[in-house]
Amino acid sequence: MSHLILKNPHSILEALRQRPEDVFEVRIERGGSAAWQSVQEAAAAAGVAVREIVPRSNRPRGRQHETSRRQSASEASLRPKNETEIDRLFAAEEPASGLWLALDQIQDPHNVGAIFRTAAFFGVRGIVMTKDRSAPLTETAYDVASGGVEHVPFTRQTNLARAVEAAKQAGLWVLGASEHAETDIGDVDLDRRWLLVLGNEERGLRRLTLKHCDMVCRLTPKGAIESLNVSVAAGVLMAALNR
Amino acid sequence: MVGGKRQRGRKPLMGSHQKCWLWGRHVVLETLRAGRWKPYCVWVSAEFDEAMRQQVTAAADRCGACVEVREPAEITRRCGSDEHQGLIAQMPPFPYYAEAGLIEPAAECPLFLVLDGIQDPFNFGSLLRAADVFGVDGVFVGRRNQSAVSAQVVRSSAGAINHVRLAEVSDLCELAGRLIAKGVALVAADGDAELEASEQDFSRPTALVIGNEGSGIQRDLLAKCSESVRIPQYGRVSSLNAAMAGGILLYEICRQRSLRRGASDGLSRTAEHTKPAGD
Repeated sequence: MSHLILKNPHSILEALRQRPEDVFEVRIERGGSAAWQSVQEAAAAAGVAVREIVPRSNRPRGRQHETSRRQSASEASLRPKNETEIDRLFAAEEPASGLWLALDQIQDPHNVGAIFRTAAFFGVRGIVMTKDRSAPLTETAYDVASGGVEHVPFTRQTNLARAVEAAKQAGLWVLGASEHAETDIGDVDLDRRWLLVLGNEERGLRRLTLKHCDMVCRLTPKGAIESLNVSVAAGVLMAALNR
Repeated sequence: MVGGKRQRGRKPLMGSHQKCWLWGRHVVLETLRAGRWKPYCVWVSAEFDEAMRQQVTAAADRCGACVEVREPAEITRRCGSDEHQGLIAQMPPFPYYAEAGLIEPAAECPLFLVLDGIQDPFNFGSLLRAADVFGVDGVFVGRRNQSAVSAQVVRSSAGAINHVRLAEVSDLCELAGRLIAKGVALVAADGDAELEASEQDFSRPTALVIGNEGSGIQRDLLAKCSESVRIPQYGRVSSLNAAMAGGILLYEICRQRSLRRGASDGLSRTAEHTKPAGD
């Protein structure tokens, strides 16, 4: 995708702040919310083109349904964010701590977006995603992430096992999350640099991926990782590792 | 014959005539098996094998729902999604629990979840799922600004809607008063709170209050909360999604309670060990 159309003012605002050169144009309805007004100001300050569009309610009859009823018609078009090379992704200034994520074939763009948003909140250093059978970073993922994509470097890899090995080379420890683990997340040593590996919505971690983990942990109550939505399970694990 | 048409279509539906269908094999089967929210009618794909069709029919019979075999294309048209996996169900409105039934016989140290205006069906579903996982005794929603129980909510809840005890109340502030009268502490999830969740003592009867995705908790309800807690942040994006915050806080509450239980188990074990020695 060479060109994204985003509709969440918060994701547009972060893109304008982090990489204004990638934003082609912002189209804003007159009289929008405070969030859209900040978008307008940030765009103007960054020298990005702002076009005012006619609010839906003022459009001629019969053309009012061109966008969904709830959302405003405001939007921005921009280039997708560049990936980070895997070696740079794992390089860190502070050697003692830090958290990285690896998403093993997560398929729903809502989940990917939600994980990026939470990762940004907890200051995750980088995310490795798989290329096959995985949700790409779609417009939905950017908008659900609400700006989170702009703050967390990421890479997409064909071979997750090789990426995990690269992480180990860089001095990271690999932590899998699985129902079948004995260790509770609360007993994991927090003074390490962890790469937390999260499995797919239905199948969990693949056997091969599991084999590469230094440690596997679970949540209490037993069954929580499988029963929670994968993005919420990811959030709970990130919060626990940040304690 | 003005009334004729209306009479025939009078059975109440979830959402509207177009939106009353649940779709997806797991979600429909789970709803049939739970048997509390009974579909009117189930459509199964003509492409299902005999065993699968019998499984659906048996479950539907127990709910008193009729079963019709249809072509997949027709099923797609009816539910408006092609992710139906050959199984859809026509639903009445969701049967909420009565508020009193949730508060009265509650557990020794109950945990409630109060949702103040969750509008996104993904968030609502995901919160219900978390409530189920973490053993919440009752979930309360208001009527204002609140996402209804729709097919999307049921899907996001991964069927948890059938197991969580969900009540709809007309006024959340009045509910808050009744909870407080029962000795339940109301704790607000608030990104601007001073107290971190891990510093709050959740071993008392607690109702966790989660606010609207944009505007947070309404002022009157926030005023009823005895504490506000936040999730410590390390990154630069300043807010968590409502469902995420809810999930993380429910986990924190369960973690504290299980630690405490573990500690008191440990204590009583030690007591048992020392007692015979004393004798």
